[in-house]
Amino acid sequence: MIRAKMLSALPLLTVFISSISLGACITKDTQNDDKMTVKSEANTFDFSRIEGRNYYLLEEGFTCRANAPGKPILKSWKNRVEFNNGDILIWETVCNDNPTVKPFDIKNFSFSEDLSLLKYQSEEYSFYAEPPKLCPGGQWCPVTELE
Amino acid sequence: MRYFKTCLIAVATATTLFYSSTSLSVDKFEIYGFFPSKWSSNTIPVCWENPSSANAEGRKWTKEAIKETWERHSRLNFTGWSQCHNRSMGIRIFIDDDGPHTKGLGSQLDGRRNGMVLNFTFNHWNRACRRSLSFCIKVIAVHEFGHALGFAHEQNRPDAPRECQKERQGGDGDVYLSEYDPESVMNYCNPEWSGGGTLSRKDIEGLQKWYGEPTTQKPVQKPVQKPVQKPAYKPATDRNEEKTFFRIVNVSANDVLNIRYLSNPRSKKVGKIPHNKGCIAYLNQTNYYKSRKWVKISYQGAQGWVNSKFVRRDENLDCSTFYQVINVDDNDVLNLRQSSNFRSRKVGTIPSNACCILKLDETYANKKWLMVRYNSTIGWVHSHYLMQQTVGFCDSCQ
Repeated sequence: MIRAKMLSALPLLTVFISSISLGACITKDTQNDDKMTVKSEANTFDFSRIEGRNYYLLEEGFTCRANAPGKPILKSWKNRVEFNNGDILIWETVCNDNPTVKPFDIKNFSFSEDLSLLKYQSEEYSFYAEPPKLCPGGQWCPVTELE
Repeated sequence: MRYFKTCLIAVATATTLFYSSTSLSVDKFEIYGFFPSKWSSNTIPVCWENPSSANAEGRKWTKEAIKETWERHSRLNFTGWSQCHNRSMGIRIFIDDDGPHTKGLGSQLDGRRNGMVLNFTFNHWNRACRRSLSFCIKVIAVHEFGHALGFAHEQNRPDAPRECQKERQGGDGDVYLSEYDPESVMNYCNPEWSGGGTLSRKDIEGLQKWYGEPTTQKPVQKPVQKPVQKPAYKPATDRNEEKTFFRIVNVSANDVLNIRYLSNPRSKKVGKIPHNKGCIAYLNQTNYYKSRKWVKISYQGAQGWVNSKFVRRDENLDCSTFYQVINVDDNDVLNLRQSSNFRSRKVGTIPSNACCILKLDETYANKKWLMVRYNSTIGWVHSHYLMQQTVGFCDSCQ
C-alpha cells in the first residue's frame, strides 16, 4: 500500500523537480548574464584593453563621511574599481583617499563584449569615462544629515 | 598610523596562489606579509607630474609640511621635488582639483603615474578650504604622505572604537606598531581634522619604528601654522550686544525658570529652563515690569522673557561657537530667517564665503536649525548650510 502511494507520487515529484530546474534556468537566463561573455581567459586576456578604465557601482541614496573640515556627509557611489598598471584599485566610496590595490586576475571578473559592463563579486558595474556626476556640482555633494 | 599595510604586489606568482579562488575578497591575513609596503630605502624620490607657476606656492607648502613632519622625525629623506619624467620612480604627484588621494600604500606608489593626487585650488572639492589654502594643503599633504609611507587609516583598526570603525575607508593594515591612536594624522575619527597636520606622539613612534630615528638632532616639529584665530567675533559696538549669553542664578535645584511670552510674571509660559543652565542666548531686548528688569532670551528655540534677577552674564568662552557657511554657491547667499523654518520671513542674508558666525541657540523642533548672529542681525539658519568653524579656518574674524 505504502509502495503504491510512493509510486503514484513519483510523477508529481518529477514535475516538481523539473519546475525547480526550469525556474533556476530562467533565473540565470538574464539579459546581463548573456552580455557577460569575456570570462576567465587568463592566458589570453589583454589588460591594455581595460587599463585606466573605471567602473562604478551606483546605489541611490548611498553616502559616506568625508575626511574634511566639518566631516560632511557626501553623496557617493557604492564602489568604484579602476584598472591601473596591471592592478585593480578598489576605491570604495567617494570619501576614500586610499584604495586597496590588488593584482589583477581575470578569473574574478566578467566583462561585456564592449567592455561597458563589469561583473565583480556578483555585482554589476558600469563603465564611465568621466566620474558620474552625483549632483550638478560634480562629486562634492554634501547632504543634510538629518534629512 | 602604526597600523601598516604591507601587501606588496611584486611577487605575482606567490600572490596568484592566494587568488586562486573565484573572488578577490580574501581574508587580509592571507595576502599580507610577503613584503612590506615599507620603502626599502630611506631616500624616497618625489616628483611633480604637472608643475607650473600657478601651483608653485602649493608645491612649496607641501614640501615644507613634509619636511617639518615625516622627514624631521625620521631618517627619511625626500629628494627631487622636480618635474617627473617618463621613468621617474618614487612618489609621483599630480596636482588636480579633485579628491586628494594615493593609489595604494607605501612602495606600491613607486613609479606609479599620478600615484598621489593633491588639490591646491579646491574649486570643486572641499570648497571650504579655499579660505585657508596653506593650512588645508599642508594638512592634506601630511595625511597623503602618511599613506605614501605605508600607513593605513587608523580608524580601520579592529581595536578602534565602534563609532570610528563606521568611517573605515580603504585598505587595512596588518602590522600594529602601537596601540590605537585617536590623535593620529591618519585617523578620520580624530576630533581635530587630520590632527591639524601635526604628527601625534604615537605617529612619531610608529614612524621611527619603520624608518628609524633621525640621525642628527633636529629642531622640534613646528605645528602646521594655522591662520590666527582672531577674537572670537567682531566686537560689538552696542554695549548690550556684549551681554550675549546668560546663565541661570537664584533658582533652586528642584525648580526651573519659566520663559514668559510677555515681560510679566502672569504672562503665558512658553518654555522653561533647568536651574543649572548656561549659554542662554540674550536677544538684546529689555523691558520693565513694576521696576523689575526683564530680558528677552532664546532657549532651545523658545523665545520669551525672563526676570533678570534669575540670570547673570555667562563669561564662559565655550558659549561662543562659531560657524562658517557651506553648501552655498558662490553667486548665492544664505537666508537668515525669523524663526526655524523655511517659510519664515527673511530677516537678512549671509554671503556664501562668510565665517565667524556666532551661534546663539539651536533647536531640533523642525530638524536642526541654528539661531545665529551675523553682523548684528539675529536669525535662524538650517544646519545644512553651516559648519562649525575649525581652528585654523577663517583667517580673520574681523
